[in-house]
Amino acid sequence: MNARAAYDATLVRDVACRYARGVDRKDLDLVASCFTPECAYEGALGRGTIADALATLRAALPRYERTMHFMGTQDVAVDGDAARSETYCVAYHVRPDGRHFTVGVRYLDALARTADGWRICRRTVRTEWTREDPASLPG
Amino acid sequence: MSDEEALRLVVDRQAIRDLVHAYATAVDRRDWPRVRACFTPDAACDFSWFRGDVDTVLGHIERGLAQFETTMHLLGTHLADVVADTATAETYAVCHHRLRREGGLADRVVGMRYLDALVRTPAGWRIRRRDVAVDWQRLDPVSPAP
Repeated sequence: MNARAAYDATLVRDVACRYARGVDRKDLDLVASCFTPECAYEGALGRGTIADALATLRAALPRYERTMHFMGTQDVAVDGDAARSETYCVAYHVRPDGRHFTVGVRYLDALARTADGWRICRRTVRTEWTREDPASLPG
Repeated sequence: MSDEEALRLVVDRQAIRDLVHAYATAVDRRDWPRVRACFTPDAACDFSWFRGDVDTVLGHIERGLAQFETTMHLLGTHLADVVADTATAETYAVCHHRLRREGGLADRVVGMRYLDALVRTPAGWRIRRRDVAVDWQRLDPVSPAP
């Protein structure tokens, strides 16, 4: 792998992490900046364009006291001005009453190199598992 | 951007990631000299439970972790911005702490973020400022063996 390919792979991995930071800080502009405007989306937030998904996300965020999109395993392949990435995520959602809703998902992304850097141009989200945990023990 | 600049950025990003991961493994092995080596001599930290210069904070961590049978600092989401010889980084951590308490074993699990300011030194990248943002924490009983 040459330097340029390694550099692109680093930037492609960053996009998934910027998405996490944007959602968790409730910074919807940062979230939107991870996608091309016409990005196709299919997953937990519905099916359509990224604009539809972000509207659903905006409505869902107030349900949770806090979220943490913990990105782990990442498999990235860059081919010229296009890239694919698969990112595993354990998404922790803390409800106002202290219960935790936890989701294991895979983000399957196609990305494109644009004038503003790498952007996701198609995202499919596969939910592998969910669980609900009661509020924890005191102390 | 030249190939040389691209390579430098990749190398810096990897070195910063390696440093943050080295901290996590060193803490879990309670290898305090190795933990200390992740920081500049004059580093400062705010771990929300305690704050101050790095030696003060590492003293708190060493005493605090002594109560646990084992710990595992699992790192995930990581972003870093490198500007010449300085950098900032954010790293998500889910930290598992197993403890023995009345009634059996329990796990304290803390979801948090390390917010680091780093500097390039002749010996490599070092943390000169580390803040911890705690997002959530839980205490759960360990389920009995099947």
